Amino acid sequence: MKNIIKILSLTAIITVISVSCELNRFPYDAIEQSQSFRTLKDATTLNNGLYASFRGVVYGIYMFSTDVQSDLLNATLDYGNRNGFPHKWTSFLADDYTIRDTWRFQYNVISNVNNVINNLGVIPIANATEQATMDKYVGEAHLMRAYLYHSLIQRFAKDYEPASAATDPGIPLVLTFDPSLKPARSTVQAIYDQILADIAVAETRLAAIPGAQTSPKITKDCVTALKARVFLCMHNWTEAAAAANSLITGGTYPLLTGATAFKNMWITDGGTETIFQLAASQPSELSNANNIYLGYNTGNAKYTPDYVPMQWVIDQYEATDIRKDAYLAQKPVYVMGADYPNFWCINKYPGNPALFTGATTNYQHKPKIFRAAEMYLISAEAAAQTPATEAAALTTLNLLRSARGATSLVGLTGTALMDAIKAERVRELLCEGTRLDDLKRWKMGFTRGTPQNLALLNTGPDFNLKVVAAGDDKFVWGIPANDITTNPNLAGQQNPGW
Amino acid sequence: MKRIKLLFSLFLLTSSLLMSQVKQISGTVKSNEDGNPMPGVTIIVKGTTQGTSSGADGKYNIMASDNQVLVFSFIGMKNQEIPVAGKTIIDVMLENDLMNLDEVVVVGYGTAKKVGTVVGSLTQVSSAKIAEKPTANVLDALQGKVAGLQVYTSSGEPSQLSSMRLHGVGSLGASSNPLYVLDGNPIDPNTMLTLNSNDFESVTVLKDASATSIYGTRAANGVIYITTKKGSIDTKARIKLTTQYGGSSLANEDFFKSFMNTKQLTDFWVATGYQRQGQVDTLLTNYPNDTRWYETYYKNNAPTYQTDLSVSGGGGKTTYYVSGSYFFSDGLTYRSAYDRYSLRSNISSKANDWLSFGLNLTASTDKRQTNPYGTNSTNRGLSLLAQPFYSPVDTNGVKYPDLIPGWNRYNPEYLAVKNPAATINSQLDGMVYMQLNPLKGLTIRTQGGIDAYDQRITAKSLPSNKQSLWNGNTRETFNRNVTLTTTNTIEYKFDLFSRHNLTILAGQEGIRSVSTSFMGYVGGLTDDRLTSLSAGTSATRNVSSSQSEYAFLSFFGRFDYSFNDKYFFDFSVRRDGSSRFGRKNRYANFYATGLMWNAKKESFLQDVAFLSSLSIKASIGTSGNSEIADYANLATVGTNLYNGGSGWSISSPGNPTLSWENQLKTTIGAKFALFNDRYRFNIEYYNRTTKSMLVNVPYPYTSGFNTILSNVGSLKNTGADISIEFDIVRGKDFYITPYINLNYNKNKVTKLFNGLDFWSIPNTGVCWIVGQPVSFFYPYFAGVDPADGSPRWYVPGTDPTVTSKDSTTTVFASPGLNQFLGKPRFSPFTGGFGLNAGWKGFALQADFAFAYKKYLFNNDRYFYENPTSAGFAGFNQSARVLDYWKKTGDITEFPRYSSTLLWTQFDSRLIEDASFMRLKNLTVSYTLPESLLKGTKFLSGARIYFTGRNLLTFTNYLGPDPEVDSNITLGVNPNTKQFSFGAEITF
Repeated sequence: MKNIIKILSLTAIITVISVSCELNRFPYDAIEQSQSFRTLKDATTLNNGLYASFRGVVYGIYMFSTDVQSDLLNATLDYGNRNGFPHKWTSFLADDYTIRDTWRFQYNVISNVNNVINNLGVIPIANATEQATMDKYVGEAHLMRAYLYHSLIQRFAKDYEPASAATDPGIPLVLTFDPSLKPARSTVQAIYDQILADIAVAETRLAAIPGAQTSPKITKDCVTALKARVFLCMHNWTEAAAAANSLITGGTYPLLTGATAFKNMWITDGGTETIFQLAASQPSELSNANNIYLGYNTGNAKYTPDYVPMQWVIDQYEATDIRKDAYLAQKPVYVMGADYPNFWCINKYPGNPALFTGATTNYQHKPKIFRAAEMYLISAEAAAQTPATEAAALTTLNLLRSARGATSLVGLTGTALMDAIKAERVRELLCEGTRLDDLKRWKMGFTRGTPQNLALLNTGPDFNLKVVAAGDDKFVWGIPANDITTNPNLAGQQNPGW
Repeated sequence: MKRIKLLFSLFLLTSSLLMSQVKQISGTVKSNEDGNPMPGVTIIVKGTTQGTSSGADGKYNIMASDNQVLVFSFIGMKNQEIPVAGKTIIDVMLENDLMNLDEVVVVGYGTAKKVGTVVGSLTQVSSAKIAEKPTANVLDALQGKVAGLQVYTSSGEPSQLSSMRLHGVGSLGASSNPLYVLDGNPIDPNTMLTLNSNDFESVTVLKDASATSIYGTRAANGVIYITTKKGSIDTKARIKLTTQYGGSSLANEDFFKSFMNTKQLTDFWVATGYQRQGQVDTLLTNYPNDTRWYETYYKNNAPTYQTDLSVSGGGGKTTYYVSGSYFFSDGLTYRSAYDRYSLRSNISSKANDWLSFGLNLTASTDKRQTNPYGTNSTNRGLSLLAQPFYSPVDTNGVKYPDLIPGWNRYNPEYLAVKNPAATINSQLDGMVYMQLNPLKGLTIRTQGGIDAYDQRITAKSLPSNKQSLWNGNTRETFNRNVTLTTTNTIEYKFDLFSRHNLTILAGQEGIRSVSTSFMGYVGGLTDDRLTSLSAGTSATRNVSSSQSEYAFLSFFGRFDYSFNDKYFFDFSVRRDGSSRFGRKNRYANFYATGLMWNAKKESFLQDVAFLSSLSIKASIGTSGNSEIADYANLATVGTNLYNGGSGWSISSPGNPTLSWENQLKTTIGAKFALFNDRYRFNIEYYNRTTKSMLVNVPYPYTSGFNTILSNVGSLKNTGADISIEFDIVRGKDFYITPYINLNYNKNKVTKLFNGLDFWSIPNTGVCWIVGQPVSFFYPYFAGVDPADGSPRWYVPGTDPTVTSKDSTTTVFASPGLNQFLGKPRFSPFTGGFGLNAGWKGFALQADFAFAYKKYLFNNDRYFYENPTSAGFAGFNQSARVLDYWKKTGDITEFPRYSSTLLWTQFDSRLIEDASFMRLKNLTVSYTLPESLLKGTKFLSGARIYFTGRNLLTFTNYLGPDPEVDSNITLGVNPNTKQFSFGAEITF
């Protein structure tokens, strides 16, 4: 009897032990998307998130791939095929990782932007202060979207030509957050219309946000800077010049003139002339690094760069030009077991010591998105298109040149003026990712010219002897193979030559 | 109380003395197999503690009375009970019990069953075949042992675990890992590394739906059931000490020896115009060496050591098995090693008539170090690019301490010493149960299981490391993973009219798993002696943490019926819920049913003398797969930082409709033996269909995502398992038993997503084509044009899923040239064969394993067979590149030399036939004869052995290792071979 009681009670206990497992589990490092638009604080967090995502798609491959593809650089024998496909052109294909990432991650940020733009409206606003904050967030999101679409349209579609833009295939236009969307390519015109529409929204919403030197957030000046850039691409010379001039004459961003101050701008990311510069800090807020130009080796204190500037690039600078010493440096280079002392390297991104995570450089910088110098170049280029304003163009160009210690140019008009502006863009914007887009915009081809020293370079028709005709198909990158196959609306819409 | 008991027994003793007289009984114990006397047999008087054991000649003496019973027992032999009943001489023949030891299995939940009565399909591998291997990876020993189970060990890291795949790849998206169950408790596959295989009694692979369906969750890819050793009641303690020592080296050096030497390389450079003779001469004056670099990057004869001590036995109602072991294995590469201490205690007791309980517990701590310089690293994986004229030693033969001149990389030992990193894993696995038997046949059981580890990963760059001099860093990571399983079952076994045997089982199971981790990092360390986290500078501090959970809740039942041991039937059902799926689709039901006919029992087969046994079985059932990330159903935003403020970005698209992957498996099989059990066959055919697969369905990048996990498509695997074993010679002193295990598996994608006929997974070279197995998809190389030395590729037809060789092009473009090549990603034909043989004290076990039509993308060759400037000019290359086109008419492997021409592209040439056959195991042992041990008085057994792993490799594959189980291999740390000597002593 005693046993029976024991057995029964044990059986009862076992039955009770039957665990009730809670099957509703939630992650600890993320929150459900549906819970992320509740308060203004959520909006602030999402706003920060957009900036952090945006920082992930600038610099690094997003900047140097096009420079590597252009006529500025030679690949050294130790380049290990890093970024080799764009450099060589012939083996640059639609399933290339650079193409994939450029497209994929910029669209990813666009989807984040869309999510914010689509949903910010549901957050209740209590007062005018909150409304002002909300306006700022909306404006910033729209400006980012405009920037990203402009970046993508330059890479993946033909250059804007007013005559054919309405029929030239652009890129898929996504304005709502919905992963199931499979859009076809919109026209180049439609994309530019959207860019201008986003700029217009940003202009209104950010009207009260004053510009500041090295601003880590988008200001109304950033809107103006993007406007200048976009209008230049759209051949809208008046608007481009107007926008650029307003920043030049605004006086907020005076050009640096001293050699040391200018050099420091490229080391410590300070200075007076940067309009928008993303925040970065180590160890948690790092950007992509432009790490292909130096290859510093602590073991022997020598440099093994992947890419070195061509001789014609070095020859661009007059001896008094403060940019030469800031952008270029003679380093002890070591390639394939041989020494090349005093070899010119691109030294524009030596790494900001405040961002080092180790004893030596990690080539980290605070990404410079808009610089005042570019406004001078946009203003000059836009003005040079009309004979009546050629003189103004030359004046603006000389403002920049003299600030940099270059001699002023006189009496240039027509093609000679335009050539001077083109050369100045190389000098000023060296390795800032503009060269290939500029060549494309100017309908120019190129020949990779004289190298510094053949001994440490990869040689041949794909390398130092590369000749590219104007309008070569690969100036426009191919749509990533993934999207051509997964989006039925893109079938047959690949760019020619890919 | 004790005293009363004593008095009482004295009284009993006296009374028995009165009834019958105690007398001396003697006799000889012999083995019925060969008739030889058996020493060391335990003889006890039943119900007393009185006992003795037989001498070397098998003779014994014992005092007992007529009404008592003698019990004869010996490990591996059946116990015999003989009543004294007036006899004074009792001679005994003991029967071998080994077959029976192996033949009890636990299938699903509930009490053990005899193999012959199990409807489900399973293969049991006994401990003898997997223990004592010179590797921590016990799964490796299963290669070729179980028909239908593909086992690959993908690297030579000492802490590498094998990948396992039963009956083909089960899903295009979710894991194909089988479910591992340790003594009834489900465990993580990685736990296998921490277990001491010498503690294993057996490993059983459950294959068909009837056997696996009751495991519902995660059982779609089969179940690997591990049973650990136990003691047995009323057995003398048996102490076993095993120790072995050995060394490992590269399993196959062919690849490493296929590179150019200095003369070949520099001659090649001059011949192709890459460098002028003058340049080469200067180079060779500065660097007059001829180095075989693999000897710098891979060690030879790295030591392997293990020792193991166990005690097993049992008293009146309690059995025990306890063991301790140490294992150490050094890897061939620097900073690659594994060492482990482990303990086990298995105790079970029958407290009284109706209550029994037990606890199986194992704890271990191990240290894992792996070489990090694999893929794309010239510090090992691609180290053979090093030019042979450079040297790791100076002119005096002294190693360069850090940077190797010319080659300009740090020597691998320096990198290992300056960048120490190790994972310390502390593991706890256990199972405790309590079982009630209130009525005969009724078993109520509750079981709690734990599978847990704490992992501490410490990685440093020492301040003196020249890669970042006087600025060292330390990263400390802590991971904790705890999985708790509670299982409650009730089972009733009963007979009706003695011919109908029925078992009914019902149960419930809950699984909860929590993984947590945190990490701390500092930089700015300046002194090698002070590298703790607190020594770093505050500005460099970085921390992070994470937590992830999942839970399963399940209910299940099974009904077994058999008639006269002739007809068997079972039916099982399970309902599973998982936290990983969408709220509405969380639960799924699985069922299975099976039939077995023991045909030999039929009267019409009783007289067929040559047929020793015959049974035929069939089963059908479903099971599920939920091996995806936790929270995969949820759309989430994750955190980041901007300008010091926290931010959110979309981290996962989620999928609220996500649900179980479902599999239907049908199996038909026959098992028979011929000529007095001499030839044994087991043949099975299966058909496995997976539906609603958990696949990362590709999305256009414009969606913001590249894939979204969804339930789509279907996949089919059909195939057959054949196992044959036969005794050429059968006897206790002399036996030769060869065996063969074969599996042929046909894999076929039957449905995809978005209405697609095929999907080429970008940048993997793998394609899913409806109607074809998972296959490689690459440009088809058409050879070098003898006319001008241009490489050529076939242009795919309009449908790239059909191989087209109609026209060629000399312009390489992928994915445009990608097409179906008829090369499957997963080997369809695998198996093993071998031999167990013995003569007197000698035993030989040889096991070969093979995989046929196994293809592997050899990415290494892209680096090693591309000597032009477009590729890797200036680096060393495989000597194969010397076969290149020089003049019209040359028929060569490689095209003409041109600085813009890549000699090797990502095309069909790199998809190599990596079929291989390996001598996985060779063990030769000698057991010392009892006559020798008699003198020692305390030794009861001694055995010495040699064991080798991967001693022979046969393959045509050109890379470092054909066994890699992946679509693509680059810079693998290849498999090793081991020679090891060991001894086993039993007290």
